[in-house]
Amino acid sequence: MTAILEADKITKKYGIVEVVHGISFQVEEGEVFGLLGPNGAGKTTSISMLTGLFPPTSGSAKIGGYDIQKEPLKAKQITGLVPQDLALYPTLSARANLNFFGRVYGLRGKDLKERVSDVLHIVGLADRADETIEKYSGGMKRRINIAAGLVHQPRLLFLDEPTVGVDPQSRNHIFDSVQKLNRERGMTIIYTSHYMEEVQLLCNRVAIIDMGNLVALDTIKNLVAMLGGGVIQIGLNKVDDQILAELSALPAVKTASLAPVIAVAPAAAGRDGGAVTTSPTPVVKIEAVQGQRALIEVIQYFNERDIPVVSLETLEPNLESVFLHLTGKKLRE
Amino acid sequence: MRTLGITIKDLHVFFLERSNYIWVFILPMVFILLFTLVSGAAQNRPAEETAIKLVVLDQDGGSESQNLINRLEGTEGVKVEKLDAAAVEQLRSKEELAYLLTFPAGYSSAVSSGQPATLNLEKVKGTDNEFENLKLIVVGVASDLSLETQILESLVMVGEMQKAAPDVQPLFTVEQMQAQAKYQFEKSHTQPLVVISSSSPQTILERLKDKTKEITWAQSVVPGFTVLFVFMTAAITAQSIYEEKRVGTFRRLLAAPLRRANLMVGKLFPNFIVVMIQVVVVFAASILILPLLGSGGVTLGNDPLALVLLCMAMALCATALGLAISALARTESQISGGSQLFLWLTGILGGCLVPLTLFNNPTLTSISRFVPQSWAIQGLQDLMVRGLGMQAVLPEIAALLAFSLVFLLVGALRFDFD
Repeated sequence: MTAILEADKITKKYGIVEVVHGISFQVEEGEVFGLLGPNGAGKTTSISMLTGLFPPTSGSAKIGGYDIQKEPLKAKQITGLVPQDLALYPTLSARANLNFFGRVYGLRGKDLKERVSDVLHIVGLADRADETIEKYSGGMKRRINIAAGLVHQPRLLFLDEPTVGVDPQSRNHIFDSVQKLNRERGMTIIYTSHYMEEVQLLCNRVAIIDMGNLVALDTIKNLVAMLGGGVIQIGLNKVDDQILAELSALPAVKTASLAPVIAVAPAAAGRDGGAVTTSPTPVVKIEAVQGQRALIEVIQYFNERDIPVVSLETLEPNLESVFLHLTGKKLRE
Repeated sequence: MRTLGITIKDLHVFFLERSNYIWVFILPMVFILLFTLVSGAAQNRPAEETAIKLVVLDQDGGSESQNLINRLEGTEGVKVEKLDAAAVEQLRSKEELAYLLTFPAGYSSAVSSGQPATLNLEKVKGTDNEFENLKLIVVGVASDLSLETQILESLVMVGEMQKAAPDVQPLFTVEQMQAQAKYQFEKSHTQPLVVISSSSPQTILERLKDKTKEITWAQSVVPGFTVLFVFMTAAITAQSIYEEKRVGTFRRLLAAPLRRANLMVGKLFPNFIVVMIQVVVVFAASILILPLLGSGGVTLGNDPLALVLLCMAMALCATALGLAISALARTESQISGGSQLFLWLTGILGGCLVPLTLFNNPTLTSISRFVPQSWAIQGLQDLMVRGLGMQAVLPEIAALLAFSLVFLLVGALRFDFD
């Protein structure tokens, strides 16, 4: 497989605040690649740099072999962007919107007509194409928003949070469209979301971004495997090194450590940031080899020593718990 | 072609929005009609209200000077006030003296003996427009009197010739009498008995000779409101760019294979086209409707090419101003409220509502040179009201292009693509 996107240490600074810290990754042609991270993690800024909306402060990227700064027009011609906002002209019809965006990418005449008709069928709105956008429901607008990014048949499509504020029916339609575009037309898709379920459903590989840093990049299977048998988080009044060592030594436990807790400190961290502090009520994070057995062993350990447990939470091995494990916070915080 | 696609789309969006029709086409016509009616009503005020007050200083005190004063008093449009030298100086010191007509000593004896005499008409404080009207009236009355005096004099001369030699001189034929009257009539024009010399403050004389013809408020209504609302489209351009950014379509266009310069040209060109359409509609409507209201009507002047070029320079300037506003204004309220306020104020300062000459304030006139509207109005007035040509409006076109360049530079340097 060849890489259609190669990002090399791309960084974005606003003044003195760095919001994307030199992230590097590659996307192979034909894959659905997920960019997962909470709101404000730097996903949209990264996509904006890669689609040529603004240049990176440092670093470089290539799309289809074209450097996005040296040959931006060639790179943009094979790229499609579906922005997070409903980037459409509300007083124009869906067809007029699609005709316009097609023309901007150089389509004309019969080609344009066919492409517009095709994308209207893909998003299932061919029968309502001549209604103005302002008369559409939120879900229908989202679908036309996607169609506008597809009309010129890009090889690489960036979908930036395409399901925000969408009803379940339209959401399912969007999922179907993404899968069909990838499977039937071989389109490479970079799908950003803060919904773990969507990324898990659609993507082959996932890059997890937090506070402008790339904290993990792998297949979903490998990322989930990092957690082994899951994670147990136990709140205690007091924790010492001996407790952590004894818990780590239990047969069904892989590691036990003190969990960091995120406290947002905007003044210090700037646009996307947060700062890590220690919680006043300590939480022990236990990575299990085998979840059920580890839970029994841990509870038994505290009962035998008469140590009161303040809170207890078990995390199934999935992307959400991977994110929590890697960043110490939940995706939707 | 991609740039043209953006232009066509923007024009499509523009003409779908009904409020744009109000701002661009309906409001200018409403203001033009309203102000034409108001200025027309001002012109139709009773004669005693609109009569120009003329102070007369009679240093001669003879019968001929009194004769001319009586004629002036009987003329509609002038209110004569005869004062002595002390009273005139008192008025002058109080700055209450507008126009002064002085009869020099010896005036009557000169006129009686058929020798030319000169009257001095002075503008001390009044308006250029009134002064021009007053000059016409005084010259007209003096000419009539000259003609009358010269014809009477010739008839007396003929009578005396007949009386002196009744046998030698047969009775004058009708043809001879007509020839004599014709000769005197022509002489009254080429060698008038009474010559009016006029003087006025230096500020007015400093202007170019071919631009000194003052225009009335009514004549300035169409050029004034056309310019005001042409520049108002700058706010629509700025709003369109702001909306494109707010909705997110601007991001989408930035992600498309377009150079930023092409994108901006595509965004700005629609305003240029809208202004050209606006000017055609407003001029056409004014030409058709204003005569129905009893107004003197509107003409496009004598130089269509100059008018087209001036309108294109105006359109470019208004469009570039829209870009500058969109680059400098950061919030919707700054664009919708702030820019409207700015455009109204500069429009008023530029003389869009009331011609600056009516204020007769040199400071205001100097300041107005720093807003593009004043140059645009000056150009339109020169072409449409004064009937001048390309040569006369080249400075105005150059000034509008210079303003456009400044606005484009500000827009290009400050525009936030992020």
